Amino acid sequence: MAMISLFFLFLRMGAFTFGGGIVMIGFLERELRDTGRLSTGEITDMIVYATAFPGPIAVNVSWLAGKKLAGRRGAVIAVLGTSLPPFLAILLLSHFLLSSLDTPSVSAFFLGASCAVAVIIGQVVYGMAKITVMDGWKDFSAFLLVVVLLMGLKLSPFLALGGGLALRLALGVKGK
Amino acid sequence: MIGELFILALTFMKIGLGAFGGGLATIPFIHYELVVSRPWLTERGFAEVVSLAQMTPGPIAVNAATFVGYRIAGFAGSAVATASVIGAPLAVIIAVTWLLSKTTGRWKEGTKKVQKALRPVVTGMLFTAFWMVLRPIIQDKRLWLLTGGLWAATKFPLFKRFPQLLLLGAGVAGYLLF
Repeated sequence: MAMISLFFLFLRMGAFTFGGGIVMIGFLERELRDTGRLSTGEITDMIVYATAFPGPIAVNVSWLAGKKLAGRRGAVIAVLGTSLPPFLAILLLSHFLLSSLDTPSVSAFFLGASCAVAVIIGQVVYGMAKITVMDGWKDFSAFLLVVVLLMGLKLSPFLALGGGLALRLALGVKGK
Repeated sequence: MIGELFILALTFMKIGLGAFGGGLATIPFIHYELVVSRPWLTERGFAEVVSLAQMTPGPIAVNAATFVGYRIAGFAGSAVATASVIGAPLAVIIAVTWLLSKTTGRWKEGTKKVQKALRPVVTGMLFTAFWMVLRPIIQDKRLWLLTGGLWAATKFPLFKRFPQLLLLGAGVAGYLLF
């Protein structure tokens, strides 16, 4: 795959994936699996790696897919392509917003928008909880520990993440 | 200036390394690093960054890095912060995929186990993020109404496909109402 078309493929992905990594995976399946460039198994493996390790899923997946398609140089090109649109969008906005952030009309706009953010996160939490937390006591214990450490004891999220992960692993995860 | 860039880089590397499980689950890390540990954002500024990140393309951690970096140290700050939030976790993934390619299938099974074990942990992060956004809303009854209306609006396929339309609509409603 030519570097330039690789760059534009990931640029498009970066520009149109509102709502983060999960949306991007659908895009990847359409653009790369359905055109035969990657197999379903390869895409599934990438998703496992991208979610088992830290970092924004979109960036991780771009790296892994770029590498598979065109080696290490392809990976760098892919990450640049995905990251450039969000970077430029915020750069432009912050330039204008910084001067008007404290005006009443802008803060009223953001107050309204935060209600929509709450709705969106609420629905994501509910969807995740249905497949994990409500599915068994082991998952529920790890969930509860994270929430107590974070919201109750107000510890650093790194400790909460480590604690929850350690507890869940100690309780035993089925293979497969 | 150099000192500021250094602290920006360090802070956003940390946020990048905490970004397990996708954009929204990063919110508690962003809050802890930028509101609790450093005086870079107020609670209100934090809520605005989260909304802004949902309206623009890209992962929220990357959006927050560009925005806060720009505010602290201009263009150089935004470039350094964005590169840090992307670069630190990429270094981890490069190292780990290299290690995995040198070892046998058992390690791959281990990766799958970690991914599964992370699910309820990420749900806990998301729940906390939900509470962080909801807390200021609870204090104002007018916002309850707006939130309820928006929840109903998500039943329409249009808003399901383009969540940023929901945000824009909510913002305009906020502008008109408050």
